[in-house]
Amino acid sequence: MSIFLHQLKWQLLLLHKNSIVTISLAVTFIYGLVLYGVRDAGTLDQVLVTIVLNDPSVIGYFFLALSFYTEMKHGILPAIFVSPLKVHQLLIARVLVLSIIGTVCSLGLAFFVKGMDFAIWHYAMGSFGICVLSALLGITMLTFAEEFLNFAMKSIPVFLLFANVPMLQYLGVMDLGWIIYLFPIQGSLNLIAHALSGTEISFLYAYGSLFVFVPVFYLLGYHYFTKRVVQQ
Amino acid sequence: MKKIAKLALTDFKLIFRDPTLRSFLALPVLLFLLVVYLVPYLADTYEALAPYLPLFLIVGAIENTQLFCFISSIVLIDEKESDVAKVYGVVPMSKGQYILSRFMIPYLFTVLLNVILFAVQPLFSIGWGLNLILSLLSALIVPVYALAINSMVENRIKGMVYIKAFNMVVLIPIAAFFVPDSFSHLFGILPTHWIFQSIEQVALGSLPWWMPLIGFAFFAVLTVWVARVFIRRHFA
Repeated sequence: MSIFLHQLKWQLLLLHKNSIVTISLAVTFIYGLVLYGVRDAGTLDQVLVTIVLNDPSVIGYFFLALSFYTEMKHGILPAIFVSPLKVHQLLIARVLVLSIIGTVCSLGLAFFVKGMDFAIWHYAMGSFGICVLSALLGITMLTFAEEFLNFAMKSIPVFLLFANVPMLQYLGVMDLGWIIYLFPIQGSLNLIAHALSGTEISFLYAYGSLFVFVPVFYLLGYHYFTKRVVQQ
Repeated sequence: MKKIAKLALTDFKLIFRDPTLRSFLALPVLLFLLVVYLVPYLADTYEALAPYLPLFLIVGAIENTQLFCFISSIVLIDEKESDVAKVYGVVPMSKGQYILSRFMIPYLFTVLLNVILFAVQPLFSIGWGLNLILSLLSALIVPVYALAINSMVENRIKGMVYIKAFNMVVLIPIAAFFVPDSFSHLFGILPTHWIFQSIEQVALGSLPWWMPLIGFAFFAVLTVWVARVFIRRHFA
C-alpha cells in the first residue's frame, strides 16, 4: 500500500511538473468565470454537462496516453517494467491521479454555476466515473497506435462514440431508446443530470453500471497494455 | 525571397511525410460539410438557433485556423525535442526569415480555407472583398498561436497542455455575444475578439472599417512580440 501511495505522489508531481494541474485548474477557472458571467442567460445545466463531457474527461484520456508515449519515446517504460513497481500500481495510480484532477475541475465548474445548490456526492461520483472510464479507455487505445498523433486521429471516432453519443441523447438531439443504457458513461451521465437538474434516474443502474464498466475497462486496458506494451 | 519560398515549400512537405499530419488535412472538408449541410438543417429544425448563426460561422472560421495552429505547434515542438531547432539556429538565414519561411504556407493555406468557408457557407451573403479581409485577419491566429506555444514549452506533454489552454483562450471572446452590448468590447483585450466582431458585423450586413483595422494592428504587434520571445527561447 505504501508503494502505491508513493506512486500516487510521484504521478501527481509528474503531472504538476508538466503544468497539467495548473493549466487544468486555470482552464476550469476561466470556464467558470464565463459561465458565472452568463448564469442569468438561462439554465446552464446542459452547457455544464457538455463541458464536463468534453473537457475534464479529455484530461484523463489524452494525457494518460501522451505520458506513456513520452516514456516510450525516451525509453523510460522498459526501466519501469524491470523495477519492483507492478504494472497494476503504475496504471491505477496514473488513472486515479488524472481522474481526481478531472473530478476536481468538474466540481469547480459546478460550483461556479450552481453554488452549493446541487447534489455534490452524485455529481462527484458521476464526474469521477466519466474521468476513470475515459482514462481506462485511453490505456486500451494507446496500444493500437505507434505515436501520439496517430492515437489522436484514431481517437476521434472512438471518443465521439464514447462521450458524444450519450451527450447528444442527453441534449435531446437523438433518441436511441434502451440502447443508450449500453453506453459505458450513461450511468455517470445520469448521476450528473440528476445532481444538477433533479432528473429522475435509477440509482441501481447508475451505480451498477460503474461497478460493471470500470473493472471491465480496467481489465481490457491492462490486457492490451501488458500484451502490446510491456511484453514488446 | 526565393530562399524563403524554397524553405517554406520544403517545410510544408514535412507534413506530407507524416501520414498522421497528412490525415489532419481532411478535417477542413468535414468542417465544410458541417457548415454547408448540418448547420442549415439545425437552423431550420430549431428556430431558436437563428440569432446564433453568426456564431456558427465564427466557430467554423476559428476551427479552420486551429488546423495549422496544431500542426505548426507540433512540428516545432518536435524539432525542439529532437534538437533540430538548434541546427536551424545556425543556418545562414536571419531568424525573421526563418519564421517567415515556417509560417508563409500555413498562413496562406489557412487564408484559402477560410475564403472557401465564407464562400460556400449558405447562411449569409459575403462579398469577395469582405471575404478576403476576414480570411486574412482570421489566419493571423496561426503564427501567433504556434510561436507563443513554442516560446513556452519544452516538450510535447507541456505542448498539449498549453494547446488545450490556448484553444480556450482563442474562443473566450465568444462570451462577448452573451453580455450586454456596453460590456462586449471588454473582451477586446484578446485579439480574437476583433475577428469575431468583424465576422458578426459582416454577417449582419455592415462592417465598420475600424473593427478589422484594430484586429490587424493588434495581431501585427502581437506577432512581432511573440516572434522576439520565440527567437530568444526556441534555438537555445
